[in-house]
Amino acid sequence: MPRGRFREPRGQALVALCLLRHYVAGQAVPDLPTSGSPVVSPGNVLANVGELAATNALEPVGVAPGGRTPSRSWWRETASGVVPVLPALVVLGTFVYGPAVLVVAMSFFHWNLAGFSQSQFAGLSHYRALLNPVSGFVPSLGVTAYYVGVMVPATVVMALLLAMLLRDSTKRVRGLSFFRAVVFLPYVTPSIATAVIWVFIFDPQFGLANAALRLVHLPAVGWLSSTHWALPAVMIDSMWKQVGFSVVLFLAGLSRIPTELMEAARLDGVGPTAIFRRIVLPYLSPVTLAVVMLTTIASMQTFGSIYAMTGGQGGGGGGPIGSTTTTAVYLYKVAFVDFHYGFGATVAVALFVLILGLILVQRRVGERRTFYR
Amino acid sequence: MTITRRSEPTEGRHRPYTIGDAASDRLPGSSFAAGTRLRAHVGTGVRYILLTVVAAMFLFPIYWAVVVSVDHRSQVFTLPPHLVPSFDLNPIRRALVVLPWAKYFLNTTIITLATIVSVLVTGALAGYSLALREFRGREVLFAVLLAALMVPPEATLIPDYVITARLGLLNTLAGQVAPVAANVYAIFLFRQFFKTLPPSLWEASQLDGVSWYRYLSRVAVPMARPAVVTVTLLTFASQWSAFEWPLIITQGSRARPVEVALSFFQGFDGTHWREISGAALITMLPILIVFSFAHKYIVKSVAGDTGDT
Repeated sequence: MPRGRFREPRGQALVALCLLRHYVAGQAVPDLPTSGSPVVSPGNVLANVGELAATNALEPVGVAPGGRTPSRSWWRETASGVVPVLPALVVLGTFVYGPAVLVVAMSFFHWNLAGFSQSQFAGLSHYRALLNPVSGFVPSLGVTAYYVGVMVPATVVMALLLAMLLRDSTKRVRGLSFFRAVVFLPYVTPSIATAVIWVFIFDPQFGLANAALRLVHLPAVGWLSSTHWALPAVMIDSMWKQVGFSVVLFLAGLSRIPTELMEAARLDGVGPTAIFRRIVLPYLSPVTLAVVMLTTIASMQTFGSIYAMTGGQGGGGGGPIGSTTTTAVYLYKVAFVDFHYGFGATVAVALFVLILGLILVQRRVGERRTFYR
Repeated sequence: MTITRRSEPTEGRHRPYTIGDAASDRLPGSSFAAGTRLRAHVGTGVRYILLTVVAAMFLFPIYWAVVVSVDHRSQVFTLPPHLVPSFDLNPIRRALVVLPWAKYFLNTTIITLATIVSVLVTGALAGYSLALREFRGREVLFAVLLAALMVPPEATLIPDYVITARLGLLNTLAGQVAPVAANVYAIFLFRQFFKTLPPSLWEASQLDGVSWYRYLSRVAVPMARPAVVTVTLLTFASQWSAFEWPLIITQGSRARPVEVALSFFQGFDGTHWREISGAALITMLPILIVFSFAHKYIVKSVAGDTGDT
């Protein structure tokens, strides 16, 4: 059976990486919205990122040479081919490739803005400091683990439930696209603008959250000023803001389940629960893996809402006693509040390794758990 | 493979499956009692109710911002809260005069437009070359570009700051555009789109001696309109909301974008709820307007066809 619409097998692996990274950048993952056109549509593969990952497509791919025999004018062809790519290469070289190398180098220095020549060599001392709990890096890992550990399963469950509700199963419910848009809307709203609203909702005295708790005779909590409740409050905001993205992925996944299969199962008298467990869930497993991976990455990089909700302007955010200082927030504080660029670079390297490691582990687990034909 | 060909027309596709909806399980024509149909109607009703509840939950924070910002002060702080506001536009007016919002909006607008243009230009140029030019090392080049996607932005945050400082772009609008002036995803999108254009077009234009950039600007890019629109919308959404990078590199109002300004506004005095909510609403207004017109398109551009509607 043809897999997707990618003509080049090489493309698939790279698209998967591409889409992952795109999400890493905090941007939505786009697609060509051209159903009906013969276009190779990357977004359609998005829901199959998990599948691609599961089928080892994420392995580094060797690249074949162009296939042309060198001629006298090969350099000319090369030049005329490379020139249009140059603007992009210059930007990426300056702000991605160069910095990726630089950050590793910086992590070995007590770096200051005057440059390497003015900076004292630090050797591995920054890396040792990472492991010292006093530096705050290890506690930030704990906060991150808590945050990611709740966000990922909660997102999967919520998004799946919402997708089941928003899917067009009976053709009888009108205005579904409106409801989908509403669920998706928070995803494109600016995180600061919505976070400041959530701050009011979670106000201990006058906020709606506590008003609701009092209404059902539960004790009010301090929310953002409490070490226990600050992070859950952020989670509620993040959930509200980001779940729509995963819902849309699940919807795309649901629409790919062959109807014949469902019909056949139903005619054979298979109950709805069994259909859900035996057909829908297995079919959605690649999408689920994608949702897990993308939510993990997004959660590890959440910055704006945490900053705005838990005291950003007064010292870089991070909540009472660092209770919402995830590693991403910690990185910001180290580098741009305390101006420890060298140690900040070390944290950045660690965060990079951590994200990559988590994704690889999830992929390995996903390989075994993911159903694909 | 689980992926179905998406190029199929949506009309006349399979009848969608159902779960837990007994009536629609049956094929049309089979004789099922009115009771089953009634149950189906009840099911649809329940779904409407659930959908409405969900929609209310998702819209609520934005609605609440409206209430907080336009309601009379005396009512905002009462419990239980008043959900229907009485209109008082003074707080929003006050919010607008305490800070130079026009300047911030101008900054963000310039940054967003400049980013969209540069992402489109760099993307179309590179995409053209990677799709239509044949040269040694093309695939290597493409792989190198895609490798940039492996690097999370956090990893490059500090060196980017250093480089931006060295380029003299701290506290400038250009400093907020430059790091995102090329987007690998846009390159990828254009490349894929250009590859699907009929090769005869390209060949004919070459025979006619049409220069490559004329072909690109007059033929290829206009035909790749869906890619252009997708890149434009997503760049708009991400740049309008940009926060961490501008927070780091801007000072004062010279190059400050709206979201950073809003964050500072909140930091001045967090107790001015109504002014802050009003400002928050105003900063997200452009996004809300664009989304209300283009939401189907945006949702599709994120995950492809979701099957229906």
